[in-house]
Amino acid sequence: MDAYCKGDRQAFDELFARLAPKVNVVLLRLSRSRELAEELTQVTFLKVHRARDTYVPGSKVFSWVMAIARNVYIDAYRKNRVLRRHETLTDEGVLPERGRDAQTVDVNAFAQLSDEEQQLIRDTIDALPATQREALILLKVEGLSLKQVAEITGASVAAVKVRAFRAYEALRAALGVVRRPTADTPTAPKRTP
Amino acid sequence: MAPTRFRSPAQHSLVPFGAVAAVILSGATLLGRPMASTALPWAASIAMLALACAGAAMVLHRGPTGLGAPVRWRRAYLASAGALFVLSTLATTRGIPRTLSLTNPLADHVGLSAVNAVTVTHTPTLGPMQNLGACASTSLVFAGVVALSLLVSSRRAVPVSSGSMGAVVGASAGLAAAAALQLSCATHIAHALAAHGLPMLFATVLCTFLGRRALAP
Repeated sequence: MDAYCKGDRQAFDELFARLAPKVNVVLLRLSRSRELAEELTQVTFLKVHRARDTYVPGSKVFSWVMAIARNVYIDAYRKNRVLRRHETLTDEGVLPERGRDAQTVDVNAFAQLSDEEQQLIRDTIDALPATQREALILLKVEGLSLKQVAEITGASVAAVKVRAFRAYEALRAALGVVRRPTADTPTAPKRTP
Repeated sequence: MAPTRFRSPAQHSLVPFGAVAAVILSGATLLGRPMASTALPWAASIAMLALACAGAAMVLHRGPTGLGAPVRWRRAYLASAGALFVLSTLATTRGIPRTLSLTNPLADHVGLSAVNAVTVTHTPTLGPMQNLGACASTSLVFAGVVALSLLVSSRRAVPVSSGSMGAVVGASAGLAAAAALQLSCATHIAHALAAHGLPMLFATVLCTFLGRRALAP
C-alpha cells in the first residue's frame, strides 16, 4: 500500500491480487449473492483508490480495506440491493475453501454434515441479526482476531464477543446440539464412604 | 501514476482550527456587546472552547490504525459535550448584566434577553425569549462554518462509523458557537438553552447524516 501511494501502479495490482479474494469472500457471505459480491468488491477497491490520500502509512491495510468494504456492503443493504435468495456457493454445495487456521471453520467437517443440516446452518446464519452474522463470519470463517473485528466494525472487543456468542448459541439451538454423556464418556470415579 | 499527496497534520488542521478562531473573534467583535465582567462566564466559555477543540482534534486525528478514534470515545465526547453545555448554562445564569448598551445594528438583532432591569439605549426592556430567532440563526451560522470546515478537512477519512464521527463534528461546532456567544449574549437560562443549545443539537443531528456521506471513503 505504501508503494502504491508512492505511485507504483504494479503495487496496486499486487494489493488487489492479495486482498480482493478475501474481500470478495466476506462480501459473498454477507450478501449471499456472487454477482453482488463481485460488484461490491470492485466498488470497494475504487473507494480504496479514491481515499488513498487518507491512508495512514504503516497502518494495517487489511483492516482499513475491510472497513471500507463493510461500509460498501452497508450502503448496498440500505439501498435494498441485497438479494434475499440463497445461492449455492460452490458446485459441491459447500463453503469455498480458503487459507485456514485453527480459528476458522473446518470445511471438511461442514461437508460431512447432511444436506439438511448444511441448509439449516445457512438458513440460521442468514436469519441472524446483521451484527451477529458479521461477527460470526469475520471471526470464525475469515479467521480474524477479536481486535481486528472490533476495529473494522467500530465495536468494542466485548461487544464482538457477545455478538459472536449469541450467534453460536443460535446455531446450537438450530442444530439442537446437546451434549449428553454416553457409555464411552469418562466420568469421575464414585467415592465410597 | 503520480505519487499520492498526503496532507500533513498541520495542513489538515489549519482550516478547521482557523474556523474556530474566526468564530470566537466574530463573537467578540461583531456582536458589539460588552463582554462579561465576571470570571464564571469566561471560565465556561474557555471550557466549551477547549472541549470544542478536543472534538475537532478527535475528528482530524486518524490514529495509528487509520480508522479514527474508537466509537466509545466518540460517544463519551457527545455525552460530555452535552453535559458541559448544560452545566455552563446553569452556572452562568447568575450575574446577568443589569445594563447593556448597544453599539451597532448587528447587536440589536442578537439575543438581548436579560430578565430584570435591563436598560438599553434605544430598545425597550426585552424578555428572555426576545430575538430568539436572530440569536439562534447567528449560532447556526457560527456552527455551520466550523462544521463545514471539519467535514471538508476530513472527507473520506473515517471508514468506521462515519455517522458517529459526524455527530462529533456537529457537537464540536455547536460548542464552538456556544463558546463564542457565551461572553456577550445574555445569559438567561431559557434563552441560552433555546438559542444556543438547540442549534448545537440541530448541528449534531444534521452532521450525523452528513458525516455518513462526507466522511466515509
